[in-house]
Amino acid sequence: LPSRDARTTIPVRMHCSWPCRFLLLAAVLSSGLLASEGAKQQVALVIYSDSRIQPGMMIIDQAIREPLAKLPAERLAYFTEFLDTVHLPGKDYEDGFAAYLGEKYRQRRIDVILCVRDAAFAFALQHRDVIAPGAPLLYMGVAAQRLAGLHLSDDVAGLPMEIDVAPVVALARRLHPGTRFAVAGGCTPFDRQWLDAFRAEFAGHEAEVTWLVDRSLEEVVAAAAALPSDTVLLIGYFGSDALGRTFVPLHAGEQIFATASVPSYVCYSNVVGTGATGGSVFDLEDAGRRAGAALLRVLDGERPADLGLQPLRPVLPMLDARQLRRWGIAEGALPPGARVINRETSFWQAYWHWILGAVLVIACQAALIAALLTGRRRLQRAQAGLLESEQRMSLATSAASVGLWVLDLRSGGFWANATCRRLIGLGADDSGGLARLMAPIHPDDRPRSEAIAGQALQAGADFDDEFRILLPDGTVRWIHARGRVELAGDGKPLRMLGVVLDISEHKRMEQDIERHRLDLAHLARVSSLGELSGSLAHELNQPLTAILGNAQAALRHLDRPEPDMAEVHEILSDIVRLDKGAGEVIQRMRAMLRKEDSVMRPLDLRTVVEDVLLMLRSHLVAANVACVSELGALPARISGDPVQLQQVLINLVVNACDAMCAAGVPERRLCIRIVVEDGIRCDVIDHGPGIPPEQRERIFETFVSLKPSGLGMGLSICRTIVHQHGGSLVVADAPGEGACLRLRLPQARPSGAAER
Amino acid sequence: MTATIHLVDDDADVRRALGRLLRLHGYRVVEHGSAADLLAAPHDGGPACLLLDLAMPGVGGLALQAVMRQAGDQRPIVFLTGEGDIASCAGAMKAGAVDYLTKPVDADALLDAVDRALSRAAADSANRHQVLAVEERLAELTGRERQVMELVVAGRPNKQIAHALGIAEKTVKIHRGRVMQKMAADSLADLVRMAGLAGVDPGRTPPA
Repeated sequence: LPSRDARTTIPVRMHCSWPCRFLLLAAVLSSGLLASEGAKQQVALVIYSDSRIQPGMMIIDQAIREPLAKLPAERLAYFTEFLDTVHLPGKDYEDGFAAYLGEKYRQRRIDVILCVRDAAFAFALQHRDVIAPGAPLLYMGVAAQRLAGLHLSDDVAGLPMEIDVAPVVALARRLHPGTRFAVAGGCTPFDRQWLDAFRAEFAGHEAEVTWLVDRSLEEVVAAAAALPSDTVLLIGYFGSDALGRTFVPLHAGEQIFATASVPSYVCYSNVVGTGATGGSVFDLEDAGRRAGAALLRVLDGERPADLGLQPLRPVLPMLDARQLRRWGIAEGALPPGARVINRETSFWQAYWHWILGAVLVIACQAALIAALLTGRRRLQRAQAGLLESEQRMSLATSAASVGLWVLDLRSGGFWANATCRRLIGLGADDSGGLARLMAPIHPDDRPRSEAIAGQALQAGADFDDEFRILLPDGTVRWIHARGRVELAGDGKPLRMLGVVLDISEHKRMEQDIERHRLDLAHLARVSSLGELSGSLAHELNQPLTAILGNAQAALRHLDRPEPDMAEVHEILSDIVRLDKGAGEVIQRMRAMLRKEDSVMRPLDLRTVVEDVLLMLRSHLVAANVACVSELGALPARISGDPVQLQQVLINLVVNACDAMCAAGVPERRLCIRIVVEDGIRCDVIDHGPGIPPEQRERIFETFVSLKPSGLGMGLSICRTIVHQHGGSLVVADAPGEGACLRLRLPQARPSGAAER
Repeated sequence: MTATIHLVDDDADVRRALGRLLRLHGYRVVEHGSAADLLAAPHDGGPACLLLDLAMPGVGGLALQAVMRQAGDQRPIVFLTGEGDIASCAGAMKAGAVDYLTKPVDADALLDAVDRALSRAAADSANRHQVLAVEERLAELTGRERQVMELVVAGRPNKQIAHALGIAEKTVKIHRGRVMQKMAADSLADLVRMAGLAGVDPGRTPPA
């Protein structure tokens, strides 16, 4: 193996300058030994042609180990050796190195050797027996043209390297359609192999191509700088120039590319990045991985010849983004799968995780700030709304004079608005519970109000009450209070709240109306008494007549010489009795004439009817009406104002009499019947002409009368009175042909407790 | 014979008081609670008067008066009333009431009225006896004598009577003599008085 070749073809710093022109023959050991070792730790030795620190070697070493990592460390011992013949050429060195390795690995039997690039393969072929007798030999990156003439045993196989320029020409054409070409190359045999490949590629198209060959490097550089713009520069390999100077091809390329007037395309990935625009290149990592996989299979016992390994080809489109930009080539034109280096990573690409993180943090902060701002604004709005609502509420409550209060039943503390405090005269208190709230209530009303409040508390219910407030200055104010009791979860009363309204004015109006009603009723009474005056005079005349008669009789007795004192006594007793009777008549009349507030008290309606009949006796006689009263045996308990009820009954009876007289009924009979049923019913039935159905409701209207001289007030007032008593007054169907006026009143409890 | 006073009033107390007063003055008092009671009571024909309350349930005083007059009961009536209304007063007086007293009634006024009523009753009673006697005598007269008498008390002279009756004056004188005799008349004036008592209508007999 010519050492000169080794020196010139393996540049010191080229990490992928593995295609070498070594043709190595190695002694091949049987690989069968490997398979028999089974679980025993296996040993692999990888020999690199170049230096340990060459970046290309490091990439390949890493790629080879990738598939081997599958095996645990106890299964595989992996050793690497670096021949570095570029820097250390010479047969003596190689022999010594081989002897050294043989000695080094004598203890460990090497199961497989992998050689990277030509020099290492040639070395291993020559010294395999010394280093690892019988170990299978694998290679990668050895020029295929060099391997072609070798007869290798079947324990030697690998990944040869093919020189192929078609891909790079195709790439150049793709990126520069219709372009012409300039091909530059050196003068070493390897350089010429590449040039030969280009010549073959362009055979028949020589006109398109300018050849920058057999010149000094300076001439090439100058020519490249003057190329017409429709040209693309292609370089296969540049190991030496026409002056016989050898170069690290990389460095030669750098000089050419730096001043070239056109884009340049190359075939080695390491050259891309030194100024070349790009190229179709060998893929270093892929090659390493494939070599590692092959190594693994051999360790598993396969024979290298059987592995069917494919050659390495420069088919990876690889481009320098900076150069693409320099020459204005759009990345969109690149073939699929093209690898672009030196792509200026954008700030985003370089720091996307930082940016993302920062953006996330900012976003979070922004969200937080937004949330806080929103919350703040909402709070402000709510506060403003609350204030407004409060103001509105306050306006509404003060405008409507509504007092509000809330009482905490547990603490006894309460809140009340200004209106409430003013209405019930609370002052600045805010404690003392329900008792304090109810303290201003008029003593006459307080027991009832307390009972109502107590019931509401017990039932947890709403309440509604009217009472008077006695203010310190003696003013009395009517209050309408409504509210409710709120229960806690345990069902116990928690709060009591409500509104208070000043209804004094309302009450005053009510009282005015009541007074007017009473006035009217009184007027009607006086009027009907006026109508009855004759009868009533008769009622008084009778006892007066008897009294006068008796008195004069007594006087005459006394005038006698021997008065009959027993008789006189009897007479005087009669007088006393009669006088009292007359007094009662007057009493009744005075009651009817009196103008008093309505006083409801327990009554027996039978008594009322009897009194009325007494008062009307003379009238009935004068009207020639026979009255039958069927008052029943049971007390007809009601609650009412006796005078007003008498007025009603007088009205009914007088009306009945008038009706019968007016109709000239010969047999004037009147029946008053009391029936205790669901409530108290009192019917006044006459035998007059009756009331036509269409008049039955009208007669209760004001100013409607069936009597020619009637004012039409009586029945209207009667009905008002009866309604006031919670009863009803209607025309019912009479049993005979007459009219039946039916009065119904609610039955009072036997206890006789008067209702308010 | 003691006079009877029928006291009719629906008010027992009034009856009791007035009854007391009247009895104290020696009257016999019969109390009735209603008109019906009075009508049902026996009528002994002795001197009596009625004290009637005007306003009573059922049949009132005025109605009772009418019923009695219709039945030929001529007992004098004094009305008592609570209310002195002119219409009922006038009606009562027209129907022959002795008096019309307003309650309460003074004892003297009451007794005075009762006295007057009773004297009228007494007068009525004497009068009725004379009338009965005259009517008995009248019944004895023949038709011609009755005719002659009617014309005589009418003041006709004999000649006119003869002419009116188509008989001779002489015959008239004979009839006239018999009439005076049968009627036991002392004079022509006496005959005229008797004719008045008996309600003989002078000159009623139409000319023949």
